[in-house]
Amino acid sequence: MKKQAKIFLMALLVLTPEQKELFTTPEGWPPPIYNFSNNKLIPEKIRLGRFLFYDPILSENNSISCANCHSPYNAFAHSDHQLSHGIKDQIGDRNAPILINLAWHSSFMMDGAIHNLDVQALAPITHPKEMGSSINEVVRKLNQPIEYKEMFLQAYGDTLITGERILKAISQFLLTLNSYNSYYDKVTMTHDAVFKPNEENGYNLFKKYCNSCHTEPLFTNNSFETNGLSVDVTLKDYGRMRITKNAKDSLKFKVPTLRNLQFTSPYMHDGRFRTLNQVLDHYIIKQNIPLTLTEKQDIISFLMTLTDWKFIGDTSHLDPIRIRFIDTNKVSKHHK
Amino acid sequence: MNKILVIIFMFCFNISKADQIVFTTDTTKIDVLKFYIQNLKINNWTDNQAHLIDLSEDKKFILNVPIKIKEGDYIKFTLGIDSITNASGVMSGDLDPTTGMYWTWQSGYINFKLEGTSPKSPARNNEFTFHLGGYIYPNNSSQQVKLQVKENKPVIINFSIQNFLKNINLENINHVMSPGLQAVELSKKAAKSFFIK
Repeated sequence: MKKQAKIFLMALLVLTPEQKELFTTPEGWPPPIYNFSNNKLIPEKIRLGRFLFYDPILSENNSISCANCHSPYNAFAHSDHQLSHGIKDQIGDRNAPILINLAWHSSFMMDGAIHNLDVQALAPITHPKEMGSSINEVVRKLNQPIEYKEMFLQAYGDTLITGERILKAISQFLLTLNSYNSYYDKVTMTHDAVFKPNEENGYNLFKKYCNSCHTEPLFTNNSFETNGLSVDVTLKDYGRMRITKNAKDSLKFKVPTLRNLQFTSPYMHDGRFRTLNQVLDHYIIKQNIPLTLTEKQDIISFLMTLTDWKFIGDTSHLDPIRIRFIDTNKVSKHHK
Repeated sequence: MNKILVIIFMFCFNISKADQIVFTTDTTKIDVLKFYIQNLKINNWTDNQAHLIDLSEDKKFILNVPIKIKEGDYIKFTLGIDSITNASGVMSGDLDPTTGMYWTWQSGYINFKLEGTSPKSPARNNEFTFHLGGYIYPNNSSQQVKLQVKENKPVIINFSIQNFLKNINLENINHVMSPGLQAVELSKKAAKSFFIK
């Protein structure tokens, strides 16, 4: 008996540090902006949020889940699609952004319309060109299957389903989507690797021309900037000005992170550039950056080191329903 | 001695007919009237909680307050949600987004919602829709309301639709649904439309 108790205690000790690592701030990173004290991470809530994230029940006709435009296989971005997709084959108004390191964001949406991660999901759930539903409708539907009642019980201690609980659970899952194990991180943080000469040269050019907005280590400074793009006449999206109603903010959009950008093409808020070459050409012309063809290629080589292969395909982020059919040993471990 | 004060919220079209509950006059019909009050203050007593006062279906909204009141005292409250609460993310109870009082396309509470129809509105089906909110400078729309109690009885706080619509030209302004200077102006009008008869 005594021995069993001892083993139990040891198991507890071993488990406790693991609990703390539901969220980690990597060394050298700024402290997260998200207020965890209002929504303390626990595995049961993360699990609930994960089910919700992958469940098309969130959309009006049960056809679209968050993962439709934020795919775990593409670092939670929407590769190859200029604009987001919604119910009934509708096309949205903006390029779906990558969902990583969200605890470090001071605002959400390309115009900063949303100030807190916990209320962000309301926008796609409600938008008629995205999920076309409402939080009330989601509450009503989630009250039907017994499985969700059980998950809410595990997460919150009772089976009550509210808007607040749904949204906070989705936040919990999103807060586990953190990417900081790229080749770049191995070189600069853990010093387990070195850049190739072309990557090194690209990194130096990056620091010279790009880092003021795409600031390390998050590769965004969270600000709104105009980068010389003219307005798309079919979308008439003036960005930040819609929120502030200040003409100074016309055509300003939130600076996106560049981490995992290999998966986030096409680029810009309206997905107008298909390749990084086109993006760099835009900056070379609009901001008068003198780059040779080789230098341009070196910057792209450097940007490719921002891909986090440990993050992409991480089974703890995949669809919890489909995961049963995936042999964890066979998930491809790509490396450049 | 009963220390409970009963505050009844109602709305009327016309101050002279304040005690009658009507949703429709010959010309104007009200479909939705709901608003938040917060920071209710009576003498030295304060309640920081937000209350959603929904007069759309129940016609009357009763708030019980654990305090005594006498003639001449003031009831003060904020019409709307203060900026600290607005900036705090998702909340429960009366502040849960399922109340329909949280904007979805951008962050922030709708402080005051009035929807109805009037022949003066040239919009579709003669509708008018006012969703007033906004908490960021210079578009902070929450307002202070201060009312003097006249009788030591259940206090009836009325909202006069007529007062609110009086100076709004529905021909030009019939849909206000985002923060901005117009929302601030209309919020000021709304705050002035409360009265105790």
